[in-house]
Amino acid sequence: MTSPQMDTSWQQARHLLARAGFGGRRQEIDRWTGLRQEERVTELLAGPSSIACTRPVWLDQSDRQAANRMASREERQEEQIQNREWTRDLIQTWLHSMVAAPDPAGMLRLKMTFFWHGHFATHMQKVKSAGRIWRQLDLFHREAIGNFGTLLQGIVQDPAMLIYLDNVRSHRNAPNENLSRELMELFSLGNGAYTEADIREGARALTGNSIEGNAFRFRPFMHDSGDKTILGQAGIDRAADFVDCILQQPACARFVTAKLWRFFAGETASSAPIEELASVFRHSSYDVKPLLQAIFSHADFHGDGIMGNQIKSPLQLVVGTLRTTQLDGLPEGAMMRLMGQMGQMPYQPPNVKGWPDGRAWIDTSRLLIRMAMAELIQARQLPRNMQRMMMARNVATLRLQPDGLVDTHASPSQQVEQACAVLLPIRPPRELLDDLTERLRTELQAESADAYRLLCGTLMLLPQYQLT
Amino acid sequence: MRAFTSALSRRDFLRHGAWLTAAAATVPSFLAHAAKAFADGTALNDHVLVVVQLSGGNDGLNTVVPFADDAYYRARPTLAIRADEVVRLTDLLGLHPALLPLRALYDDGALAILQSVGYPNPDRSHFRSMEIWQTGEPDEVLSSGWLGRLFDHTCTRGEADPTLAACIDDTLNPAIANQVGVGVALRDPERFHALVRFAAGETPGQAETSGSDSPLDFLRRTALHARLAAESIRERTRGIRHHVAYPDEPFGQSLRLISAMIAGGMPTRIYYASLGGFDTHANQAPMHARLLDTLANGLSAFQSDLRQLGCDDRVVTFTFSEFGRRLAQNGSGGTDHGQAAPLFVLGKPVRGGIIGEPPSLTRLNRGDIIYQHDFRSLYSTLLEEWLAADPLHVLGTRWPRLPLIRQT
Repeated sequence: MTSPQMDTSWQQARHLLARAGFGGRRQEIDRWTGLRQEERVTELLAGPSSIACTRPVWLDQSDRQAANRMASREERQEEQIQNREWTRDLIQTWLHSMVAAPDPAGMLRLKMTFFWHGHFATHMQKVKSAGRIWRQLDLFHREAIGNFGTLLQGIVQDPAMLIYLDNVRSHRNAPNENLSRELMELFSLGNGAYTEADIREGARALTGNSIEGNAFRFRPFMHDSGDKTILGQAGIDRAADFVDCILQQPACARFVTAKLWRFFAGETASSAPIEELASVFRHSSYDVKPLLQAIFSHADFHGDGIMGNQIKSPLQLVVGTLRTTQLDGLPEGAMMRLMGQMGQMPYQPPNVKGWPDGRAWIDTSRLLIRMAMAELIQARQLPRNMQRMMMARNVATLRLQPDGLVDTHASPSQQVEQACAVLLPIRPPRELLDDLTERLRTELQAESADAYRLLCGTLMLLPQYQLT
Repeated sequence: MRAFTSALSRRDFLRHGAWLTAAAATVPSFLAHAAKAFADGTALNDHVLVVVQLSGGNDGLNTVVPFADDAYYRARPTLAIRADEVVRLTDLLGLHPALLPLRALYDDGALAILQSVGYPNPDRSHFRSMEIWQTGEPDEVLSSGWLGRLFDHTCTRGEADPTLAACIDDTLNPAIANQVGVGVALRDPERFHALVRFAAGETPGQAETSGSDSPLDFLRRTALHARLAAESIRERTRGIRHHVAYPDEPFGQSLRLISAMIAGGMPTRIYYASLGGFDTHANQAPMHARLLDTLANGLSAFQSDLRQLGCDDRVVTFTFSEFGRRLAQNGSGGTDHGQAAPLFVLGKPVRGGIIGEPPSLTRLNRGDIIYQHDFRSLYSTLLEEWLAADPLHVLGTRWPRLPLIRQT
């Protein structure tokens, strides 16, 4: 008898849940197995393109602090400490919302909020105020799978970005070119699609886009209102005109499409269908939904070179692990800390380019941290150094709910098959499964509370688990 | 001088045969290339560079004190180090009293002080400025570190010995970031080994390996590298007897581990240690004194340990911080972010003394010390004269060299 997990339809459902989201639970994969691929994609994209970003209770306080110019040095220092805590609080809430995402559609939207953060990368150390970071996160939530043009217009008025790329003091007498350069190189067109003269002219258009406390403020006296010619287009005045001009470039749809393809499909050796997808994006006037529909429905997306060949980002690994195992009992901040150790601390990207992905995630140290997370799930006792790293004094109190992985009424060998199929994109060798089945049988007979921790943890220690 | 030796000997390899058979297809080429990486045309010598990163922006003016300059005392009415307290080196300059342990090194000609190091159009953000020092590039944002590029240009991806660089930390420092997979991060060999045993431990499932370059094989190979590195570091540091007592705090212990790894014959060329807390905006005096005390006692113990272990010919150490601090003290008994600052280069191979003029305290840039030496001149000198590498590949340019290394 062939198990349902060997079925192509089951594998496709699993793949789409893993890539569009953070990986499906067994029930989610089973439910989608009964649907056609287009029905799955429709379900993913139906409904609003935004997702709620809860307004934090401290927002007004953070805004008041940012607006207060009379604060003493001591007050400023205290505020900085407070804002760092608030920012951590924001990030944790954000990550927990991903773990708690109720359905595939929610997972996709939240995953996209993180894509935009990596695309429009800023660092908390320079942005400082948590209120500004919330405003930016709110923008990413509002346009999660919305419109790229709206996002790009939003980002040139985004207080966090204006600070991060030094535009707040950019003055017509001395325009700062930082935002102008990255707006074209990293956010929209890619290197080579513009000239140094375009950067200089763009910087003039961006002058005046500044902030007042935590809010955007256009300052006419700083703005250079003379004519600019950017990307061959004359008569440009303000930032919004500059962005419109960028959006008219064919390079823009290609660049953003290629980045999204890579985000969902992974670093692939074979040539990617970028032209074809970019034309969908152009024709939708940068609405993200039709592009995602085209990506998820593309035959290449389900090709052998792509399925099971993406190295998980720390986000995918940590959120995915917690969501599928429904792990309970991790200390506050553990997710963020794990991601940080793996090299992807939210709002602390290595630089303005965001995080390099694929194999760049892995070196000896980081792979060990990744595998140590599996150990955390498996082990009853950890060596002291790992406890420190995991912030878990007592890992014995961790609890997982196995129903997202296995049918607990099935036989041990079926349960091992199920857990394997849910957790791993590539099947491990037969002997391992037999061995695991024996261990699970023993643990279940002994009515061990840790039987499923052992099962999951062992599978997560495999190199296959780093892939999706 | 001893020839390059691979830490991962055939014997090491065979001893863990059972575990390694699993990934056997990829092992021999790794072992062969670990040694070959440095043995080919771009071969480097067996010299070791130790980088000490002082995070937060060390106050250069209270580190190497211009005690003969009135402007210093005018700008720092309560924070200046009194002329009768400094450890006098010349008629113009002296060290902070907490740096007394470095005096002996200076007298031996093993401590160079490079004055006013910085770069054009300095950035006062901790983050960006540290990134500039780590990537070696002020004008462009790079993903690789300056030391990482050293390996990118001398090693083959996936086949380089990861222990060629070691960070005494939880994660790799961005200065080491590279494409070829060099670099291990650890604080304690036994713990590192325990982590590897747990993580890459006796798990089955690595049975089939095709020797191809699929993501799965790449992951298996990396796990194997971690395992071999952990074994090697533990084996080689175990028997080392230190001849001096290191200060019992993390920084001193970092240097102790580095000396054990060097003496144990690790192939590691770059060691990276950090000391944080230099962002002294308020109540600077006691805090800064404590930090400099930690720094000086650690470095002094390290040098004398290396001497007694017979390794001091092979090791050069330098300190840096992302920026110096403002000349004028602020209203909180501290100093704010500044620009250029002096740094230390030390070791037996170093040509001791003071390089450059005392900083001008009247000709300033926005209240800050103006740089005399571009930090890339320091990097260029260390790469070319100490590590026998071509700075062109690492920095894009060969910068004017500084007389820091003794010519033998």
